[in-house]
Amino acid sequence: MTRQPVVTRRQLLRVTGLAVGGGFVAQRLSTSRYAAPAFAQTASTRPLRVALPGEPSFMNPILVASDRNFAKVSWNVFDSLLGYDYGARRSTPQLATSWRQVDPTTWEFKLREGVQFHRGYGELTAADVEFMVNYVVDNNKPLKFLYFFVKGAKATGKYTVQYSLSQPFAPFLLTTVRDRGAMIVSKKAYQEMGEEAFSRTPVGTGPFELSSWQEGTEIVLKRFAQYWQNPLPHLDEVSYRFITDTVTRESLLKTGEIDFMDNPDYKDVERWRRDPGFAVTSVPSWGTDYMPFSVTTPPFDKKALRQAVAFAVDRASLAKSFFFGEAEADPGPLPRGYLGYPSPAIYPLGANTAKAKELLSEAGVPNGFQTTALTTAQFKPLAEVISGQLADVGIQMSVEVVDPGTFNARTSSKKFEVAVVNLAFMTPDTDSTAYWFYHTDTVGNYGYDNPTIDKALEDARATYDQQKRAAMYRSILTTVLPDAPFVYLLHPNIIHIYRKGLQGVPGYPQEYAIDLRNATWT
Amino acid sequence: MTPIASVHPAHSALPGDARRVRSEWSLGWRHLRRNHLAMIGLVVVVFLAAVALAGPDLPLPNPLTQHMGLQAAPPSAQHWLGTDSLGRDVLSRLVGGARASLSIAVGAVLVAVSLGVPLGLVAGYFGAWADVAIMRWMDAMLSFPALVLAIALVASLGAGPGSVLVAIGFVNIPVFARLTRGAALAAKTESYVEAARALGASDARIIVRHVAPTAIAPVTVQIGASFAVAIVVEATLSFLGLGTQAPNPSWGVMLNDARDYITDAPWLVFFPAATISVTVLSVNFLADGLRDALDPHYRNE
Repeated sequence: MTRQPVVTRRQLLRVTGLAVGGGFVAQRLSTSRYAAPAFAQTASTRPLRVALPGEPSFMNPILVASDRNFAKVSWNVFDSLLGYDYGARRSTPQLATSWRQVDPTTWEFKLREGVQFHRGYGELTAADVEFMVNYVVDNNKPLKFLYFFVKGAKATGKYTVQYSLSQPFAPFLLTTVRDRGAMIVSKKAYQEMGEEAFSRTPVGTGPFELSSWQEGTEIVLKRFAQYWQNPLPHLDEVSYRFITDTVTRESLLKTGEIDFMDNPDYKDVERWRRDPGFAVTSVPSWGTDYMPFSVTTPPFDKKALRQAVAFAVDRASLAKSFFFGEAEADPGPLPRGYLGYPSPAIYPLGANTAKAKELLSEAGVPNGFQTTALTTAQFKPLAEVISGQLADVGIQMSVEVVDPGTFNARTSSKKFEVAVVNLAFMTPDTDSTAYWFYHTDTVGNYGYDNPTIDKALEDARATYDQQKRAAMYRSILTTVLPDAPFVYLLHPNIIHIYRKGLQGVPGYPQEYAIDLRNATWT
Repeated sequence: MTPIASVHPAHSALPGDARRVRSEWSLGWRHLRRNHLAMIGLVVVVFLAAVALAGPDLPLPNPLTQHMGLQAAPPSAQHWLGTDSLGRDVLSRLVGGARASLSIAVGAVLVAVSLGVPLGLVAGYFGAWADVAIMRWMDAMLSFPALVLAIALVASLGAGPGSVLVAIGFVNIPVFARLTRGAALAAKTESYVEAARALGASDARIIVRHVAPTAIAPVTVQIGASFAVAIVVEATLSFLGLGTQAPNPSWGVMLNDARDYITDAPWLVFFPAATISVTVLSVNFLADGLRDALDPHYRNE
């Protein structure tokens, strides 16, 4: 009797083929689970698939100073002490139900009772707020950049917490205890997990709980059933897919791989508007596209040359032709509704080439001069258009494109002449458009040094009377804008594009805000 | 001296040898002329070089002038190849790009030849430690992928056309060094070299007058091949934003600008891409033809 092999080669091939094929099919099924037709799912179980231009660094508000991808997800995982009414422009209750100023340097917050943390970490109490604030202050964590003059916090009851400041700080409510400044994390979870693990599996009180994070691919959130704002949220599942390229994001939206994206190419917005399958929200942002100068180095150490640029750029044309109307031209820094708005009208919306040429002559370069604008890939086209506008008065501006890390290093060490970039204001207080850029001791200042302005900015942030503050900011801008340490261009719109049937995603003027707590499919 | 030199095929220095040497090149030219692809390549290359040289004097719109409101317009009587994302004339930008690309490629090949050939001659002729020192260094350079090495060089030199020229030239040095070393190794054992040495010629004289000429044909062919590679690498580096800086035109920059418009205005991608392809193909045809024409081994086939 010949001995038969246990498995013949043919059988082996067949089995291997099945296994490989089956694995492939299974993988296709699992990766394309969202491609299942939408009508097969009920409204509440249909997931929402959001495209993000990149991956959040950490899902931990304590460790993040500036990360737009974190910011976009964070709104749905964490709540802050205070909310903000973008229409009425005032603070609203969120985790804190009421607040009062005990004395000029002490603020007291009454917390909402019965607010639960994700993953069964129990009820939010004053101890959590106290822990987070003191942890950030004592360990100098990145979040401290919003904690101006905060000495620490103290729980004075189970639901009462007091912040103490080292000096009066008028922007406190809008800057330090709303949005990113006070997204409260669970003390117990933070201490049990440790910082690193917490940053991957965050525990907040927001409408959604982080369910999975596949590095480099997507973050999936699931509905948090014990969310305090019952019956919110409406959606069962939200996923964020990281897709860097704008063209790819737009084509995935078109083909049905994703449902929601922001920051499309401006030229495409009109086409999306005409597409019956999609809806578009477009709101002028608080952010400003602007040109900072290195004011201590040639050529822009000459004020007249900076002013010449300010008069030579055609903001109205940029908004109309380059942003296709999806922007608001503005020669001043103040977004709509900020204290002191509108900015003093020092420069025109269009170009004043005669005035610009006059300034060039005054500076001794009637035929113009050469300069190089530093920018990142995102703002290269804008910089090129500006270069074309400046060429009309003889200013030859070439464009140097560097990666964002190099950009920050070069600008903070003043190794540039002029830059083209966007400012995104995280807080609706004018302090963030003025102090953060005009005061000599801030990172947004590239050499502008005016002791009178320094003093005025310090006084303005220490003044609680809003009417007095408005007048103070107006007088600050009346001095700073003619000195032109920055040329302001426009407020680009924040644009959301999403599949028809999605409702309840408000368009806020604040950048990086995708608020899904009210979102629902109809 | 004359009889010695007459056995040296590519030697042009000696008067008695002149007629025979000229016939070597004219033989090559006759062979090249019969090669249709190579002639097409030659015509295209000459045309491109002429356009690039004449660039600013051609009756074309300024490649930097923007027409906002006429963005990404299709080809028309006014703008033969349409306008780009900022309303600039695509044809003028292609011409401007030819100037940038070709001048960088020429410069880069010059850098590579002027450094690579002497290094190869020295390594091949002297051998021993000079050979080891030079060729191990060349091997080390060859062990990096050329594009990656070029990117690293540009990153450390700072973005710009000058850095790109230096980087492309630098990464091409080993090719020329190896090629010349091979020719020098073969030549130095020839009897005419031994004879020259016996007659008391210095090393320098032998290298320049007796060894170097044997490398002319292979180096000429390699120049063509390297030139094609240089154009592609230049376009790649500019595409990545490391080369020619905005708003100045370059084929790679144009391709990158057009990326966002691939669905709306496909011609913005097509024209620069086609220009790069046609240029590289033509240079390659010409280089192939030169190899066939100058290498007796191929010529006899």
